[in-house]
Amino acid sequence: MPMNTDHDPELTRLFAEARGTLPAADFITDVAERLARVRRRRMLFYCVAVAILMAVLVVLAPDLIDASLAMSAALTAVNSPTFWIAGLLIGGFALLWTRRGLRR
Amino acid sequence: MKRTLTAQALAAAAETTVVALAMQGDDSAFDELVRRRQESLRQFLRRLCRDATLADDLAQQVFVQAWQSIRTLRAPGAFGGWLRKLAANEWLQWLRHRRIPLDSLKQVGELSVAAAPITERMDLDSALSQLPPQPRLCVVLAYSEGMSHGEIATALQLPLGTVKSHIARGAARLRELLQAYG
Repeated sequence: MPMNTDHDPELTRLFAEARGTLPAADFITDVAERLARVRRRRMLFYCVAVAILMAVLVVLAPDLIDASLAMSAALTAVNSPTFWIAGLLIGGFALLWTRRGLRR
Repeated sequence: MKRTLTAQALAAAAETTVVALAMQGDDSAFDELVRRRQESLRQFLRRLCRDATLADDLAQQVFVQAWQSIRTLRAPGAFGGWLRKLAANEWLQWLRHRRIPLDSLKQVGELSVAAAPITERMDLDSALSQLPPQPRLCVVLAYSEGMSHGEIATALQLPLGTVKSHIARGAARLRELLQAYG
């Protein structure tokens, strides 16, 4: 342990003498009980959180399925040659427009 | 995969090993740390509180906090200092809850000395209790826990000059009290 050399030796001695031994058993049992309580509370919190999450998923599941089906239909429409050509044309115009902006 | 040791192996293991295991979530390793550290932590808090029941209650709370946040410890070797810091903060928080001023040098000291009967022998804990909380904490960390001024300044997030002044004035006051009643 690093000690300061400017410490008062008399006080250092008094502090060293004041260190008695303390009975440990009850204290350790109390700490174990407190820790067990905290662990139980934490476990309960996780269980409640998981239950709430599952309930929310069950309630939202039909809407989520509908939304994902609608999205996949929209993506099928996008995934066609017409949309690719339209996308390329828009991209090309955007590129030209930005280059013109940079030259100014 | 989580490594675990038997109770016997844990008792014989170096503290850094036990701390490293506790950091990985090994509860029996943490119990071993409680066994090893309980006495010094309780002594430290008793020096600060001068109330054994309160000190033990705070020490239990400190161990619960340590268990909850041991994963945030930067290195196993820093466990002792980290635990002391948790204990100091727990005590300071207890004082703040009761709106006890942390650094009012004159009132606490003068008042209590005047109130103490002259025939009563002043022991170290009684003398310590006459110091205001923050200087008392600095003196206990320096003299009882053997921490350097720099370590105390870092642990308590106080300027080094303030720590030095708290220790010098606190030690002088202690000597004065112990001599007056010793």
